[in-house]
Amino acid sequence: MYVRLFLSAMAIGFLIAIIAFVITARRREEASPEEVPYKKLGKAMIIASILFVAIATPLSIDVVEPRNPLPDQVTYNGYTAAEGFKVAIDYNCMGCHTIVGNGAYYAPDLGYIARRAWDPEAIRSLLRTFAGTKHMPFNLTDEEIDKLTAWMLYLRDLNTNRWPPMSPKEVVFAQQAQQGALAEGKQLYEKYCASCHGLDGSGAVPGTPNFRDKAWWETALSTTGWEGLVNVVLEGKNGMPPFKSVLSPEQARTVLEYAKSFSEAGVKGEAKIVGGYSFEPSFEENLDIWYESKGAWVVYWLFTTLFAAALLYAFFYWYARG
Amino acid sequence: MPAYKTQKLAAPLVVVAVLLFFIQLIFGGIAALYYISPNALSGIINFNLARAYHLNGLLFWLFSATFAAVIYVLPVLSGREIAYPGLVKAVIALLLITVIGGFLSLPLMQSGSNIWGFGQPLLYEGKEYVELGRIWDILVLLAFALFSIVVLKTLPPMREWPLALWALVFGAAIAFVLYVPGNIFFKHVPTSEYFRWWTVHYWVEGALEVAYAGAFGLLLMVLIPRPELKRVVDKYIFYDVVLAATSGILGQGHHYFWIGTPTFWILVGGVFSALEILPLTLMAFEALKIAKKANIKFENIPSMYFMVGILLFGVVGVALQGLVITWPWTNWWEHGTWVTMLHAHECMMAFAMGAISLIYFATPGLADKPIDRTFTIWGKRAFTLIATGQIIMATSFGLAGLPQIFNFWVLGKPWSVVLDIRAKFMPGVLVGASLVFVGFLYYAASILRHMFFPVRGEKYEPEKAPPTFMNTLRGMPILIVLALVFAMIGTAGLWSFFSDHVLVAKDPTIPYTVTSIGFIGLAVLLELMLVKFTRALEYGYYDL
Repeated sequence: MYVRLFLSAMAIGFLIAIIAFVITARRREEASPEEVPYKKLGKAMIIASILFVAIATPLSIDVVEPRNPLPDQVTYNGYTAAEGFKVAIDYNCMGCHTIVGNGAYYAPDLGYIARRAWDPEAIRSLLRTFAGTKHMPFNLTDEEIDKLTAWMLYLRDLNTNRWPPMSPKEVVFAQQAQQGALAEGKQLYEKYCASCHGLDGSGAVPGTPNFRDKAWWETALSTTGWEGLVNVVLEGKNGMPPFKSVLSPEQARTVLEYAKSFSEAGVKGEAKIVGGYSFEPSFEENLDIWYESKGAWVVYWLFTTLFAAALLYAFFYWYARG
Repeated sequence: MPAYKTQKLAAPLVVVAVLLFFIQLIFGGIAALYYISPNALSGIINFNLARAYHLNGLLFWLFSATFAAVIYVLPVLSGREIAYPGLVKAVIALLLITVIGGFLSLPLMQSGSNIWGFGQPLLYEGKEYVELGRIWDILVLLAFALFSIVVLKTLPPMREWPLALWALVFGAAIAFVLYVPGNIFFKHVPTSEYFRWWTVHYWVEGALEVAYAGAFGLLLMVLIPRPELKRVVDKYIFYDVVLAATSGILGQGHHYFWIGTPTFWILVGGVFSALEILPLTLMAFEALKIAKKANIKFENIPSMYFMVGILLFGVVGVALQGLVITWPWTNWWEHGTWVTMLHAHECMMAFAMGAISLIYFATPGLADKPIDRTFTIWGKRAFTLIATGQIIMATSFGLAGLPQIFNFWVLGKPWSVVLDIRAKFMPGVLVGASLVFVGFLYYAASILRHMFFPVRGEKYEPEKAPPTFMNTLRGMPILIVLALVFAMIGTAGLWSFFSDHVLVAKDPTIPYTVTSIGFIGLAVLLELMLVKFTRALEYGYYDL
C-alpha cells in the first residue's frame, strides 16, 4: 500500500505539473527574456517547505505524544538509558557500529544486536564478553556495562518502522504476565475458560466471542461495562454455564482482565512478532498515534502531491525558457 | 601577482588544507587496514579513532579551503582591500587552535575519558561527522562569526549584490546557523540523530549546494565579464536555489525513515529526495549551456578540470547514486551497509573537488608566480588519478555491500561472515585508494612547488587534438540520460531483494547481477563523461 501512495503522489503531481505547464504556455511566450520567471512560486515553495519542517520537528523528536520509549524511562539495574548514551558517546560506539543504521560499518548495528539478543541478561553478557578483547579494546567497568545495557534495551524498543530487516522473531511476553498481576487470571482462565474460549482467546467452540478482537471489547465495555461482564461469568449466558460456585466476583474480574489482554497485541500474555522483511506493517502499527492516523496520511499525501507538482512545474518551466 | 595585498592572507590556509587532506588519507588507509588485518592496530589506534580523523580531516580541510577561497576572492569582488586584516589572522589562528586542540583530544575516546559540563561533552563527542567536543565547536563558531564580520564589512552594500553573491552569503549563513543543532548533545537518540542530520545533510545539500552554486557563478562572472553571461548565471542561481532549497529541505527526510521518527517521513522524504536529482541535472545542463556561451580558453586548466569534477560527481555520485538508494524500498535494504559508502564517497568527492578547484584557482596568484607547464600537467594528472581512484574505490564498496545485505539481513549469518566477504572486495578498494593517494601527491606537489620553490614559467601548450568523440561534448545529453537508466537498473536491483527468490528460495543472483550492472554502468559512464567534458573544455570544442 505504501508503494501505491508513493507512486500515486509522484504520478498525479507530474500530471498536475504538465497541465499547469500547458495552461501557462501563452504567458510564458509573452514574458520578456530579462524576467526571472516564477519568482512568486519559488518563494512560496521555500516558505512552504520550511513551514513543513517547522511543524514536523516537534512531532519527530517525541515532544508531542512520543512514539518511542524515552531514555529516562528505560532502566537496567538502576541505571537509565540516558546515562548509557553518555557512555556510548565517551567511547564513540558510533565510530565502529551503526546506531539506527547511522555510523560506521565496521561492526554490526547495535539495535539489531539488541533485538537478536532481546533479553537484558543476554545483552549484558554480550557486552561483558566483548569488552576488553581485540574486537572492542575498551576496559569497561561493571557500572558502564550496566548503563550500556540499559541503553541497548532502549535501542531495542525504538520504533524504527521495523528496520533493520531480520528474520521474524517471536518474543513471548507470557513470562512477564506470570510475574504480574495477571498470573492468577491466567491460571483461572486456563482452568475454567480455555476449553471453550481457547488457550489464545480466539474461541475454540462456535458461538464464543473472539477475545483477540479489540472492537469486541470496546463494544462490550461500552454497553455493559465490567460489571455486566462479571455478571455474565458468574450467572452464565446462552450456552455458557454459571461460574459463581467456583469464582468470586473479584476472581471473575481478574479472569476477564486476562482475557482482555489477548486483544492488546504485544502487551500482556501474548507473543509479539518483531523484525521481518518489510516496513509496511509499521503503517498499521502506528495508526493510533494522531499524527500517523489515516486522516493525517491524507494531509501528507495531498501536501506531497501538490508540492511535487510545483517542483516539477518549476523544472519544466526552466527547461522551456532556459 | 594578486591585485590586492590582503589576498595573500589566504596562503597559510591553503597549506593547512593540503596537510589536512594528507591526514585524512592516512587515516582512511588505517581504517582500510582494519578490513585486512583486524587485530594489527587494535588497542593502539582503534578503528573509531581512525575514522574520526578520516572524517574531521576532510571537514576541516574543506573549511580551510573555503575560507582561503573567500579571502582570495573577496577583495576582487568588492574592489577593495579586506577590512580588518588583523581579524582575518585571528580567524586563521582560531581555526588552527581548533584543529590542533580538537585532533589532540580525539584519542581520549580510546579510554573514554571525556569531560562533561553543562550536560554536554566538552572534549569530544562520539557522533559521526560532529566528533569535536563543545569547546572546539564554540571556537569554530567564533571563527565563523568573526569571519562573517570581515566579509560583511568588506563587501559593497547589500543593495548592489548580484544574485550569485546573495546565494553565496545566504548559503554560508545557513551553514553557520545549522552548525549548532547537530552538535548539541540530546539524550534521546531519535532527537540526537534528527538534529545531527540538520548539520550534516543541510551543509551538503542545502547550504553548500547553494553556496557553491553562488561561488561558481561569481567566479564565472569574474572570469568572463560579459553582461549576457551574468543574465544566464543569475537565472541559473535562482532556479538552483529554489529547487535545491525546497527539495533539499524536504528531501532531508530520507535520513528519517528508520531512526525512530514518524512514518510520514517515508512518504515525504522518499518523494522529495527522489526529486532532488532535478536541481543537479539542471546544474549539469545549465553548465553545458554556460560553457557553450562562454566559449573561452581556460588558462588555469587544473582548476577547470576539478570544477568539471564537482559537476559530474554531483550529477552521478550525488544525484544518481543517491537516487538509487533513496527510495524507501531500496533504502530499507541498503541502510547501514557498505552500499551507502558508495554514495558517501562519491558525494564527498564532489565537495572535495570543489575545494581543490578553488585552491588551484588561488594558488598562482597567492604564490605570485605564473601558471606553468609542470603546474598544469601535474594538476591534470592529479585530477585523473583522484577521480578514477575514487570511482574504483567507491564502486568496490557498493559491490561489497550487496553480499552484506544478503548474508546479514536476509540470512542472519554472524558478523564474521560479513567481514570475510567484504575483505574479498578490498583489492578493489586498495587499488582505488592507491590511485587517489598518488593523485594527492601530484596535487600537493604542484601546490607546494608553486608556493615554496622557484618556478621558471615554461608555458603550457595543449597538444593539438582532433575533434573525436572523446575530445568533444558530443553525445553528452544522451550519456546523462543513459546514466539515469543505469540508476534505475540499480534501483530495480536493490528492490529485487524483496522478491521470493531472495527471501524464500534464498537465491541472491538477481539482485547481485542487476545491481552490479547498475553500479558498474554508472562508474564507467562517470569516467567517460569526466574525460569528455574536461578535454572538450581544454581543447575548446564547445559544440554539442
